[in-house]
Amino acid sequence: MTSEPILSVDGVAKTFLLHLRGGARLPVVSGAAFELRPGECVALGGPSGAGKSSLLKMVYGNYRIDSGTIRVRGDGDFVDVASADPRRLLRLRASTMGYVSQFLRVIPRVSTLEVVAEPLVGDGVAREQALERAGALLAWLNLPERLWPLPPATFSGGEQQRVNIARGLIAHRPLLLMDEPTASLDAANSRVVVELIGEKKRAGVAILGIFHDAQVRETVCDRVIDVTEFAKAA
Amino acid sequence: MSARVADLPLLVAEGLSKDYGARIGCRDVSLKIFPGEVLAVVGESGSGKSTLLGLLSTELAPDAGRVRYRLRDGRLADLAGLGAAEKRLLMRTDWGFVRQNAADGLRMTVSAGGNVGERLMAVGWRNYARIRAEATDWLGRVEIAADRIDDDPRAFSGGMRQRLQIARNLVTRPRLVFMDEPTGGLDVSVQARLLDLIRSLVAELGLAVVIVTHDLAVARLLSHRMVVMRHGRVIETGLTDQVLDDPREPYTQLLVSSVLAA
Repeated sequence: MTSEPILSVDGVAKTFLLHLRGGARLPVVSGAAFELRPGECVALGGPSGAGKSSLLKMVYGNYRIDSGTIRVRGDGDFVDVASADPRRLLRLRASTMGYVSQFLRVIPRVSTLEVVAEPLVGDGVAREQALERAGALLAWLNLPERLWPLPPATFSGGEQQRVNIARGLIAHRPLLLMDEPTASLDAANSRVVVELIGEKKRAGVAILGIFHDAQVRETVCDRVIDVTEFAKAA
Repeated sequence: MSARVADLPLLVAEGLSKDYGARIGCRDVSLKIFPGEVLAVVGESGSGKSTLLGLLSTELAPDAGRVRYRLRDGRLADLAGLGAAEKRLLMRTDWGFVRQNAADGLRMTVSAGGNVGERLMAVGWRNYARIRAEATDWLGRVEIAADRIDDDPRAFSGGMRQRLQIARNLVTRPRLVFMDEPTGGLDVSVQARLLDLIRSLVAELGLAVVIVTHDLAVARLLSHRMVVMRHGRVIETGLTDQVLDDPREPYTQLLVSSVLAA
C-alpha cells in the first residue's frame, strides 16, 4: 500500500465574518495541518464548537478558507481544494471525495432507492445494477424494504441517517468525510456502520470523520487529531 | 476526449452592460457557461438578473460588452455578428427559453401537440405522423396525458402549462436553455413536481442551463454554480453549496439568512 498521503492540509485558517452582526469575527481554526494516508481512519476530536464539522466542510470545499492549502490526490495529481476552480472541485468530488453529512437533504419525489443509487449512476453504472446494489446496502443497514420506494422526507432521524450513509458509501471514493455517521443509530445499526467502515479501510479508502460515540471511535479509528490545537492559535 | 469538449465554454459573456435611461440594468458582467452545467443567477427584484438573461439570450442588445457562443462546428462566434436568419436558426435548434409566464412561451390558441410539433417543423420535420408521435412522447415525458394532446393550453393548469413549455423547448434537443423563474407563482406541491422534472431532464439530456430565480432553494436543488447579483453587478460567485453555506458578501449573507426554514 502506498504511503503517499491522499489528503494534505497545511496552514489552514478560517474566520467567519458576520456582516449582519456588525462585522463580528468568529475564528474557527488557524494553522490547521495534518495528513491522511490510504486505508487509515482518523477522527477529528475536541469539544462541541471546536470546529470539527467546519474543518470537514473545508476539506470538502463547502466552506471556503482564508489561507493555507488543502491538497487532495485525485485522478493522478494533487488538487488544492482551496484554489481549484468550481468545475475542477466538482470533478474532484465526483471522482475522489465522498461526504456523509449528519442530515439528509431530500429531493422531492425521488425514492429512497434512487437517492441511494444516484452516485453509482453518476459513475456510469447501469441503472438496474445500481438499484440492486442500493437495495443490498439498505438491507444490510436494516432499512425495511417497504420504505425503499418512498422519498425519505418523512422518515425518522435514524432511518434518514441510514439512507444518508448508504448514499455516501455506495460508490468507491478514495477519501471519505463522515460527520457523526452513527449519531441517531441504535447499537445494532452502529455495528453495521462499523463493519462498513472496516470494509472501506480494507479497500484502501482514507476516512476523516467525527465520531462522538467513544466505542465506535475506538473500534474504527487509527488516531485522533485534536482540533483544539488549531483553535488555540485562532 | 469528451472531458476536453466539456472544458471548452459553450457561452462566453464579457463586460456586459445595459442601462435603462438613468436606471442601471446590468453593469460589467462577465461569465462563462460550460456544457452540461446549470448556472443559477440569484438576487432580488431589480437586481438585474432578468436583464442579464435578456442580454445572454440576445433578446436585449448590450450598451457595452459581447456574448460569444460555440456553434456546433466548434467555432466561438460573436452573437452580434450573426445574421438574423442565423440567429433565428440558433434559437430554434440550439437554444430553449422557459419563461415564468407560460403565455409568453407558448402559443395559447394552438393545441398542446401543436405547441411541441411547431418547434419540430421549424427544424425541418415534415411527416405529420412522426411529428405527432414525437409530440406524444414528449407530452408523456413531462407527465401530460396523451389524451390532452388536442387541447389548447388555455384549458391547462399553471403547472401543466409550464410542463408543456418545457416539452416545447426540449423537443429539438437544445444545448443551452434559459429559464426565467420557471417555478414562480406556482403552488409548492406543483413546484416540487416541476423541479424534479427539470432536474432529471437536465441531467438526462446533459443540458447547459442558465436559470434566473429569487428562490434559493430552487437554486440549491438545480444548479452547480451560482452568481449573486445586486444593483446590476455580480457581487459573489462560486459553487452553489459554497455560496449558500458560506456566503461572504454582506448582501449574500442577508439573502441566505432571510430564508424561512420550513
